Amino acid sequence: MGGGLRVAPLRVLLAMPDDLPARCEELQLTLAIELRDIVKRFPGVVANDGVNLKVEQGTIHAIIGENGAGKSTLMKTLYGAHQPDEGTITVNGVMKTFKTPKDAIAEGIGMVFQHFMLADNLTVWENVVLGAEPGSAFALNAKKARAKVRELAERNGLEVDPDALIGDLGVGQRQRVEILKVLYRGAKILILDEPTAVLVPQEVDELFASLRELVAQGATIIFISHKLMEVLSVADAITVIRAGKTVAEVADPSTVTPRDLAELMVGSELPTPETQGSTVRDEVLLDVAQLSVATDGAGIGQAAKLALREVNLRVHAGEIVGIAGVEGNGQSELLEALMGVREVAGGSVSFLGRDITTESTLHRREAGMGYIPEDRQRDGLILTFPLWENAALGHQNSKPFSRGFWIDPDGAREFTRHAIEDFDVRTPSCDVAALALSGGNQQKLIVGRELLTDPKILIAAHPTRGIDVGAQAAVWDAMRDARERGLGILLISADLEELIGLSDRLLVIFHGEIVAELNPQSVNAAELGSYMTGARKGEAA
Amino acid sequence: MKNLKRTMTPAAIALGLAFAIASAVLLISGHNPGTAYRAMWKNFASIDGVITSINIGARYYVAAVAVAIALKMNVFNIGTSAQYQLAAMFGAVTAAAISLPAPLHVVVTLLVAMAAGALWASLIAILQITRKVNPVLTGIMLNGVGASVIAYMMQSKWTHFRDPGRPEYGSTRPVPKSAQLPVFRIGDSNLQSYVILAVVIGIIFYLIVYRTRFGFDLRASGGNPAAAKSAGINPKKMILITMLLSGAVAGLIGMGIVLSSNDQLSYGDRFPGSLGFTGIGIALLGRNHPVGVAAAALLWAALDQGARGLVTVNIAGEIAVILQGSLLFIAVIVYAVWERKSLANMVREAAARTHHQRAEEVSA
Repeated sequence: MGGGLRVAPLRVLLAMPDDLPARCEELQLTLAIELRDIVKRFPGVVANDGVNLKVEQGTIHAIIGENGAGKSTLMKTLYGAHQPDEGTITVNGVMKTFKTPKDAIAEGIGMVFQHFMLADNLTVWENVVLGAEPGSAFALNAKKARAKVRELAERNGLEVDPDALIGDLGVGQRQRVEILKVLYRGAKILILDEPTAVLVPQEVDELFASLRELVAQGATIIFISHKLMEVLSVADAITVIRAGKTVAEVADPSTVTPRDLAELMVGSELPTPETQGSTVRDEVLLDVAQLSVATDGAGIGQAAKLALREVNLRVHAGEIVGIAGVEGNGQSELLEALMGVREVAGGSVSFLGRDITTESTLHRREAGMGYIPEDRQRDGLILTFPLWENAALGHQNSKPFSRGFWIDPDGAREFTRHAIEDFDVRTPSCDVAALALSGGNQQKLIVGRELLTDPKILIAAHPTRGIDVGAQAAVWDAMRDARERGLGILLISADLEELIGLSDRLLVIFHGEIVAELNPQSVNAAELGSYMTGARKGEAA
Repeated sequence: MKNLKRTMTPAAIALGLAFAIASAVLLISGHNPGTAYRAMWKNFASIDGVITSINIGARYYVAAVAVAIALKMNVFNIGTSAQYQLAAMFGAVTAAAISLPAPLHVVVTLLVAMAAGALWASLIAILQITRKVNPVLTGIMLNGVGASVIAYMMQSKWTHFRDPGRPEYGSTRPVPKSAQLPVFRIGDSNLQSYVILAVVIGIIFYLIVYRTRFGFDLRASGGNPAAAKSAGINPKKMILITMLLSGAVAGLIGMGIVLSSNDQLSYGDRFPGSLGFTGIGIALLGRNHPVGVAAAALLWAALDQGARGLVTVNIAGEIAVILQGSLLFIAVIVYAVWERKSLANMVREAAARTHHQRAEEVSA
């Protein structure tokens, strides 16, 4: 009954949406952004069908909705990537039309994209000023540029060294650089597209602290997400979009629960990542012993630094072993060493009782290792290829994707249609290029490909990263089903809820070593966090 | 049909612009473009003109396919120049040195030429795989080395290579009858049966690249090397095999000239040396697709043929080179722009249609 009570205020709002504008005007709020009745049509469809959005100045406003609900279309309208067919955009009380993103930037609206656009071989300040360099047409005023970037970073609490190379920075710091880029161009209203999708919990906390600092400095932030806990923890107001329409506006997030929001987003029940009962069998599928892996870029003659140090782990049939850790603590190296993409410096990997330490990636895959890579666009897909060819990737030598010497397009298409159906991949057909799909749908295709090809073990990194609540449930269900049938899964995830909910056993990786083995039944997120940051060391495996 | 339109439109735009540039050059130099194009057309539009274009086009096609195979996995075989000339020399020498029954003689000769081309190309691959040397650099340098090897072998002291019977020519011994490729007499012109070989190469190229597992691995490695590696495709192995294939095809570029009974029937001073680079241009123009490359090769050869008619109206034949050059240059730009546009369209369409699905589900 408590849940019902908490939803009540929302329901009240929903019952009288017409009343809302009047109430806002009554309170005389200064709106940084007001979108009114935005309609955006694409050939044959309406992507935004009367969306309303009101963002108060100096607030963090979250927009939530499933993949494909129309969030991105709306944001593109707002920063000038395209024009709405109907409706109005009002910035700080003045009605505006944006023909290009330049017009939006001129009005102080800047966009921070989910996928970073930074030059690795340039420094932080160089990236920030790139395209808007101070100085004359022939000479860059480096001193001025650097000073301005430093000042901007300090004033807004975005801690990053202006002289560091982008290539040396972690994801969280790169994101700060992206934010600095937008601020440097004079943005007062920042749109952040799923900024936490690539961050680990600690980085998320840092980001949120930065956002609050920015707001305190007078900025307005529009925050697109589908991670409900995060939205609730940071947002001052929330707008929920479903199927191109605004379905709810929450003025006070403290009155709602994640479950309420999820219901609004999907219109169905919120799934939880829980596995019931143990299905762990005796058979050891994967046996990693004393595995060490060197870091990249260890020069000739230098003592190789180890990214992974004497790691021991086992995955049994029917078992999900979770690996928790802050990104960059050796997870990538572990994945790549297990798949044979990266050379090992020492130790051994056995699969189904056979030593595969020196075997090729192809042999490993053919022996039954499924792989969901960390970076789907870099390692999991060929963006210019159609979906059916992407579905064959990694399985190109086996049925139904090929027959002997030849590839089998019909078989591959048939398989792809299954994957599309079972994993709810939103796509017009299996013949479109992978790049035409949203990130979440690309991920669903990869998960479908790896789970439907009957692997014996699945090496899965962030299997539900960037996919929405409904599809997340489908992926979790599929992983649980496969586990019951005897699939072993090594799960690396930044989503602690997912790790705790799905894993039979939880290992914590820190600085390339397994520092703790925990029971997911009894551990809580705070405790896990302290192991992940190295604050605690404990029951090492 | 839609596909055809999508491919033809950018090519037509590029061709139109190229003719516009050539017309401008003609006007500036005080000639009437109409006169020039009429003279070019007149020289092409005859049985002899068309058949010569097809004969030459076949060489261009093989030269372009050799490059296109490697480009399918984003490897640039810029070394076809040396590969085909070495192959032609060793092929011609082999054909003259051995005696076998007719069809077998041809087959062995062609195999030797393919082996020579593949071997020279393999050096590029091996250096890339083992020493990480940029294949473009090695390719260019091996072109120079190849030319030196040929000059060395063609000295008068190696009588198997330099025919002592024809000292004035500086060529290999003539290819005997049993190793010659037949020609088909059409009117007063000779259609070389090498054209059939070119067509077969095109078909095999298509089947391998688009229909076989190897072709999938090849395209995947070109499309996204990291993803291909994760999918178990060994990049080093792919580079080696692809270079061997590319070099083997390159080995056949000059064999129509060496073996056709109406052609040179030897390798020597008069042998064309620019087919390698022409092939690179045609591969780009035909977007590495078996059919596109065929169209580009025939167009290129037709422009060559037309250019020979320009002397009759006192216009420099180089106008055809300007046409070919600007065509290539513009085509590359137009293709890139077009590609971008159609990808953006595809993304938009897919996004729109998935929104649609979603909207239907929700309202249902």
